[in-house]
Amino acid sequence: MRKSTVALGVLSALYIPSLYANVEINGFASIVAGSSLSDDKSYYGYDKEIDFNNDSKVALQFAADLGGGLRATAQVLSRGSDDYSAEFEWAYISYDISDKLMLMAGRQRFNLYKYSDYIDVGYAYHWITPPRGVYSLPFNSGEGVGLVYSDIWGNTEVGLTYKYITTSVSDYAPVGSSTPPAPFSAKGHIMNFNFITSGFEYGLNVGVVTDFSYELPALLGLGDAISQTGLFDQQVVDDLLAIDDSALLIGANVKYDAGKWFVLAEYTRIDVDPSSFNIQDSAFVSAGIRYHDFTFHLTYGIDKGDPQYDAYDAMLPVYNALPPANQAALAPLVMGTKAALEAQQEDSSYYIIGTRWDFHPSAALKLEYTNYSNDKPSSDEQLLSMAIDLVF
Amino acid sequence: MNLPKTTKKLLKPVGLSLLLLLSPWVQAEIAVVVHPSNASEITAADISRIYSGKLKTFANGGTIVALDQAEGSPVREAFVKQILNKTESQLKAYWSKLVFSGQGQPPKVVDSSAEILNLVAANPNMIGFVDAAEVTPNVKVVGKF
Repeated sequence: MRKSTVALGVLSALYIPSLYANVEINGFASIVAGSSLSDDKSYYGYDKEIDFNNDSKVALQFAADLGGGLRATAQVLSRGSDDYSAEFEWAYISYDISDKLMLMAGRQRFNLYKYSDYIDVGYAYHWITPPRGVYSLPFNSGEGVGLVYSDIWGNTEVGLTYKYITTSVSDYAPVGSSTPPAPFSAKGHIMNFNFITSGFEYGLNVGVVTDFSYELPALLGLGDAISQTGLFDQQVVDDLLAIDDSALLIGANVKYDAGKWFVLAEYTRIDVDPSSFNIQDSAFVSAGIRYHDFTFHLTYGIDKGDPQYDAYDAMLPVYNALPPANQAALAPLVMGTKAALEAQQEDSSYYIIGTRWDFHPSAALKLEYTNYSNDKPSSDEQLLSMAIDLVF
Repeated sequence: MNLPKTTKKLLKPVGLSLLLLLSPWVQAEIAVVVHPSNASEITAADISRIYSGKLKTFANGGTIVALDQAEGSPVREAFVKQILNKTESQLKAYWSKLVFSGQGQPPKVVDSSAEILNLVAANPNMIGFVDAAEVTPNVKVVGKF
């Protein structure tokens, strides 16, 4: 290397001042108003009264560039559904090992699906909320380490991620349910494989949750009651409770964006050890056309939750062999177990019709109608919602 | 406008010539510039990837520092439309995905074309874009659009 080149290299390295960190502040906000069109039903927390809190949120992100590829980032999010109490959704240190490889350590996202990484940033997608059936995992964020690899292979942009994340929340309640909050914890490995070839995006996400527990008091009580009868194997209780269970989550997505229009589809499956958690399959197709500052879109999706009857099936032979008097005494317990296993059962479909208007360079106004119908248990719901999404 | 018909007729050619005067400015040619010592070949696709945060090194191995013009400036509007092939909203949505998931920060915004030219002329790692008419001899044009 010639001396002058060395000098220039040193100069360019000095260009970014390193004495004080260069802090970038960004943020986003969504104000969402929604109302269920049915008189006596609620849908994901909405009833017939217009609600402004359920999906509204404001976030601020601070990213400090420490130079040399080292950054510290914190994202503080306050949700209307949480009385706007501020929580760290992300808080991590990232380091560019090379131009293609980045290490992230700290609190980050369980990015299991296409939109997981920026699910809170309404401005980044066309819906007010991505299809809830898919995007309603108990674990959104957690603590861990991740490696993010990005490169260009020929004509294809490649993004590969590996993360090991653990999470523990004291107050998990399944989205859209009236189940009281209960402790939930999980740890697992996440792998994302994402590719873009001229307008064509496709990806595969795999989550191997090695260990998760959901300590819902009512379920634990039911488990204790089953044990106390002394009639059933411990296996029955194990197959009812989600304690130290494992799960496999798989998602595949594809999108084509021609600029004037786009179409995308995503399929996800959650396979869990036998427990009150169901085997879940979800899929949706969404398409939109863009006309000037407007996007008009249509989405159709299905969600299936298949109960795992292992615990109930194991109880039945024991129950059937009992004298009638004992059967009568035990029936509530057996039926209660069946009901608990079926609590998440679902065989539903929905469609969403919506529009997005980019009325300002940093803001979008959205209007959306959702029609949801479930066969198991039978119910139909309609939701009308409106949102303003901002980024700054 | 509430003007007599004859006046409107008279004004028509004036409006037309005004439009003609303005049109070369509206369709300004964009020049993408680097330091004169930068011998890397840079295609239109590369420029799009650089400004999308996907391409981070020049062919010569140097780390890329991309400079952006201020939002709302005509040259930036043309650049976003013609080279990035996006609307301003689409570009903002794109960057918000990356920024809020820790995958990247958009290019640094520099206040004026003059400043971009000065910075690029002084730094082999930088790339910028200006109105082609503003290009100075101490930078190298790698593409005109």
